[in-house]
Amino acid sequence: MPSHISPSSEQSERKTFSRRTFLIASSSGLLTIGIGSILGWKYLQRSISALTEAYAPPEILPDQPFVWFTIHANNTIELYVPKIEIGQGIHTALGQIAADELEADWSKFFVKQADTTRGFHGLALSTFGSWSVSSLYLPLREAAATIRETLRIEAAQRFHASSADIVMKESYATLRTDSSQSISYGDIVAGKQGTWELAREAPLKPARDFTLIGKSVGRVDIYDKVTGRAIYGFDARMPNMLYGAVARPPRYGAVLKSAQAGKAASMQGVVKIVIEQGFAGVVAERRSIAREAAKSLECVWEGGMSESQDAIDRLVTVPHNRASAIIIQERGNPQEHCSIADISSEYRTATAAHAHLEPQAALAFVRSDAIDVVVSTQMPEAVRIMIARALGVDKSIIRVQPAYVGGGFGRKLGYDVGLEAAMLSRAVGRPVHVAWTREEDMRYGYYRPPSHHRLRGKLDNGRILALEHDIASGDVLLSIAPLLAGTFGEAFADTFAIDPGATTGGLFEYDIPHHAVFFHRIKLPFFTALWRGLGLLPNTFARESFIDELAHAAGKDPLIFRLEHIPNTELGARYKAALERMHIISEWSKPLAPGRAKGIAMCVHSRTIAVEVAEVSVAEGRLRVHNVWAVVDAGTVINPNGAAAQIQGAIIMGLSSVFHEAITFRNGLAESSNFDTYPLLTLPEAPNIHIDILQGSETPHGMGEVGIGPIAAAVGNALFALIRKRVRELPFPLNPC
Amino acid sequence: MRLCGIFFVNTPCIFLAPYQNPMYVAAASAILAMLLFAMFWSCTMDLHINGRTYTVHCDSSEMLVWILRDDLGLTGTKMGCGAGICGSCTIHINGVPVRSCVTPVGAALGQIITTIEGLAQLGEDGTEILHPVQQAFIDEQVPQCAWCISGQIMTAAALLRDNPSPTDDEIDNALASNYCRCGCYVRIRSAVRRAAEYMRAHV
Repeated sequence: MPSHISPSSEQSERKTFSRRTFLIASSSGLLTIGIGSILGWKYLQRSISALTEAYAPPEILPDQPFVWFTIHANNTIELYVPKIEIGQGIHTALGQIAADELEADWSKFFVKQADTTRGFHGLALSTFGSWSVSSLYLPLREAAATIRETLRIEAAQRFHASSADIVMKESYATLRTDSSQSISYGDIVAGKQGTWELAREAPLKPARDFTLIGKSVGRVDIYDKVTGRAIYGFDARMPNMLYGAVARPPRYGAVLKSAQAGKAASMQGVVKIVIEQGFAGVVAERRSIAREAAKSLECVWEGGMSESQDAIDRLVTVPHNRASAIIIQERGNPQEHCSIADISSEYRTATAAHAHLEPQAALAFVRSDAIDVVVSTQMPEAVRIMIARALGVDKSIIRVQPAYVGGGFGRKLGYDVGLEAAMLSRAVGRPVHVAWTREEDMRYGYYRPPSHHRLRGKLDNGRILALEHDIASGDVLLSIAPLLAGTFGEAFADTFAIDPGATTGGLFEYDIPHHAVFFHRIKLPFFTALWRGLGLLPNTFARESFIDELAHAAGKDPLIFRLEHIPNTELGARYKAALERMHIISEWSKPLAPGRAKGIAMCVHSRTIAVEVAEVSVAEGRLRVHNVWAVVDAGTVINPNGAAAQIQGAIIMGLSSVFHEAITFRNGLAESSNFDTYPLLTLPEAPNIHIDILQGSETPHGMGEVGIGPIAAAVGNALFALIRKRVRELPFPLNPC
Repeated sequence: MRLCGIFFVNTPCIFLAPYQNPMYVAAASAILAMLLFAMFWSCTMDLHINGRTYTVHCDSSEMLVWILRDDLGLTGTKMGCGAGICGSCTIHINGVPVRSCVTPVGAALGQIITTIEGLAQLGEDGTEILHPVQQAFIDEQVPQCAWCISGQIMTAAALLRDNPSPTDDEIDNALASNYCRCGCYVRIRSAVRRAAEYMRAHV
């Protein structure tokens, strides 16, 4: 008699569970924009589907719903979620979705992180791109509904009633006609004789019956987080564990040619010096010893980057001819009109670090027949694949337990630290913990690519007649293709002329008769990749600032000017509603306090619309942002307060890029290695933020990144309104006046 | 620059409340570390943490954050920059907030150390009673990734002990060197205000 339902007790039970392809659906919009003219259609389609498969295969969700849930006899229910809690509140949101559909008692409902052995495909654990809620919303509800209906049928049999007479509520099944006849989900499961047969019909609840979806319930992880009990990759511990550190090159991307132990060999507390092909590290009894010893290894490095910042800036510049450019959007005949443009401007954004506060960290224990890894990661499957490859083992013996992640923002899609811990653990046969220093994290990761933009616009009778945007940027999305698909991925990324990540947010959503966007793909000597919103912040900054330039040139109010260019589409209607709402909540047309001005900008990302207004002042040459208003249309919102937190956070992170953040290189290495020269936005610099979330369509859209898009342009536009000076670079100069 | 929080105790060491200038803290701590390194050497030490006494064996120059986290398993104290700038590692020594990533363990000998694990109290029935700042951080739903949160809470708790009714500017200044990369600042501000209300209500 099973005491609880779990995957192992249900191996034999299978039902054709509707498989979903949401990840593909939500990513394909991204991946198919800007099909270049260089390659044939068929090849491209094949390549796109290959990348998508490696990235987010369609059949990664489990066949049977028990993978998600464990129901205990004491009526507590555990939901195992594949998505990782990076701070975005995903455990809470997925818990709400599941508990609502299951009609579970929220106070006895616990959300657990699934590891790679729970029964999910490894790639289902990948957490990025604002896709977690939108991709799991229906599959998770279907799984919960199936369990709910299965329990209902079982309860009906107990009460010798028909299923239609059973009410499912708060983790109890109760007879409609006699409420004394009631049984808990836990008792149904504990008392089950024989094997389970899953319900064949499992209708989803109508939205009007939602009890948890749409409610601002508290975060499920919050108690452990305010008491210091939450365990992150950096906090992972095992008995008998040692500490590891790895030698780093003096130039980005340099390869280890040879290494000697040097004086590390005689250092007290050093357990082992590990020198392998392209890798030199130390295992020691204490972390400080491991780090000191790793620094003292005598290494010979070869190659790598040698450029300094001026060379990078030259490289990242829109060329004057478009011979190698890819048109990612085109309508009408913009080139003809823009050749006699009214306004032409250039924008530039700096390279930026992720600067998550928890440095990369992992604990690995490698034995001949089993490998355990606890790691702060957004992509456990990448850790698994890369360890399997490097250690020459089958990945089925590798169990990756994702920990709480102390900030990811895209950087923790990397696998590096997990691999290092595994290589060092193999050498000593004991668990080894590796945590990067801040210096390592800032210098040897990947970055948000620098970008350069050239825009030209032509006005006609107060409206935009034609608009062109040339974007030059390093890779974002394609740079992770080699990671997932090996040499194929590399070849693939090379043949692809456009980067679907770097162009994110690059399209014009306005009704402009003639417009085009050209993408110039820049090969950089350092690795650039996923960073919150991908190209969303740089591209929106350039576009929305330029729209503001045109509005002023046309003598129009920037908000009204945008409204006048809203297209007559479904998206346009949503934009219009958001702009009109913004007009009210920001008191846009009311007179401003002396010395203050407002600016507006907007964008769409993963189908969510964000309109933001910033109110600024300048005192003693220093820009200050006092208030930010955001109107967000994100479809169905699972947890409004959690969603607001995402928007607040994205605005703050964007302001940090506005005020502070720039990675510059000198002789092939980032000049900044810590927060003394790479400061982040602080509390005194943080504005008041007012958020209005519009309840939109019936499906949830992405929430994690969209808020970062408009903020830089909103601030720049406000500054222009105040002092009539246009800032066209990120970060803004220290004294923008 | 306000040098609040610098004071001398019975061992020749200086504790810093690094509210203000991270560069100052880094430089001062480096000097401190060198001094202490010369004065102490590797030895067995007793540390008084959260009402318990722990015995550790290490160099007295080892930074306290590693003793707490790696030796004692008190991983609630986080580690962000190792340079006293970001504030993730903030703990209390004799009630004063210090950056444990730049405080040598030798400097904590004989002192009362409090970490996030020791901030809540145990009620008579054994239930945990959160510190008002912790409760306010829950009620305002502050944390996202929460790597900075222990440091934010420890810094705010020290502020409110010294100043039960801080203005918004005082809150901003007290927490000006505690980074939050997820951008929870607006909520941190509200939570500290709320915690002050809780504490005043219970006086």
